[in-house]
Amino acid sequence: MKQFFSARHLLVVAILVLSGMLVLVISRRYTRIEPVAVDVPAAGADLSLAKIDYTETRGGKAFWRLRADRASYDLETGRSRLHNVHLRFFGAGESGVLTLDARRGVWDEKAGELVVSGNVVARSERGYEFSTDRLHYRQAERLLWTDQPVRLSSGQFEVEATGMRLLVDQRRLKLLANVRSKWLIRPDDEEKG
Amino acid sequence: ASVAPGDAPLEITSRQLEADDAAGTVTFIGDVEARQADLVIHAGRLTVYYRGEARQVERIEAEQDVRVIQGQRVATGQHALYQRSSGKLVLTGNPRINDGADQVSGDKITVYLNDKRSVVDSRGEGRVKATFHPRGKQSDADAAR
Repeated sequence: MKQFFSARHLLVVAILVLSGMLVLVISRRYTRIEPVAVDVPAAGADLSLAKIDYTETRGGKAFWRLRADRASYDLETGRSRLHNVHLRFFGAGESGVLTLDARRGVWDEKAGELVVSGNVVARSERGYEFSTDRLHYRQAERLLWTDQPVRLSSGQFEVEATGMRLLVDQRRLKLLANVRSKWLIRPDDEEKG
Repeated sequence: ASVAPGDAPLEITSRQLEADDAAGTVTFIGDVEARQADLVIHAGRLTVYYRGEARQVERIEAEQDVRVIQGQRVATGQHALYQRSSGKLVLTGNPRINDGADQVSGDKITVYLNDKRSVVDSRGEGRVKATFHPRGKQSDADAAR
């Protein structure tokens, strides 16, 4: 009977056994680690957090700040569902701070996109205010936009429209359709020509 | 106290709007209609210049097929500038003004909105052209029909 188990055969068997053991070890080490919930997690959420406070800074300068009373963070999608949202946008130059409050929000940190909804009201230090039902914020472009009806008031001026785009830094605003405005004129300011 | 025409609320509708708070302007774009008391302005584009935190209107600039209607008076042109303090509206760009059947055209028309008066100017060699229909003849012709 020829040398049945030649050295080469033995080597192949040894390799097979070793790789089998290796697979076993790897699969046991990387099992899904369930997060330790801080609080009773909301349905379908992985992590419930209280008192969120997130500020985006670039070069040491604060650009915007996101606070929420409660949040539930989904580990899989990387999105946070926020409750009672408070935002502060720090504008460039003299445009001052723009604050914004809403009942709910969804913050997608990877995409840098925030959607807030429910009684969305924003106020600027320069004395204007706008309100809508749902508003998006795109971090990369520092753009606030909505396709919903929006109402804006500022001093003697009020306007309603559908759809809005606001560049936070330049504070340049565009209302996209159905613009209806009213400008109250105060007599005492009129200098007769 | 009765509200002077220039102090009545100014209502403006349009397709779109652009506001630049730093520059103190609000621009209405597309099918613009601005109403204040008995004055109506139609235009393709209309910009309101305001000042101060109360955003008080200082002047209004209208462009693109401007039509200014006040009672029987209709003035047209390509550009109009309205100064709120003086109540004056200056029309240029082939301006023309109709008052009932009468018509006057020139290079510049100044409409005094608070006292229903207009002045038509022409530049250089240009001449003011006016067409008036005597009242009496017109009404007799109507009666005969």
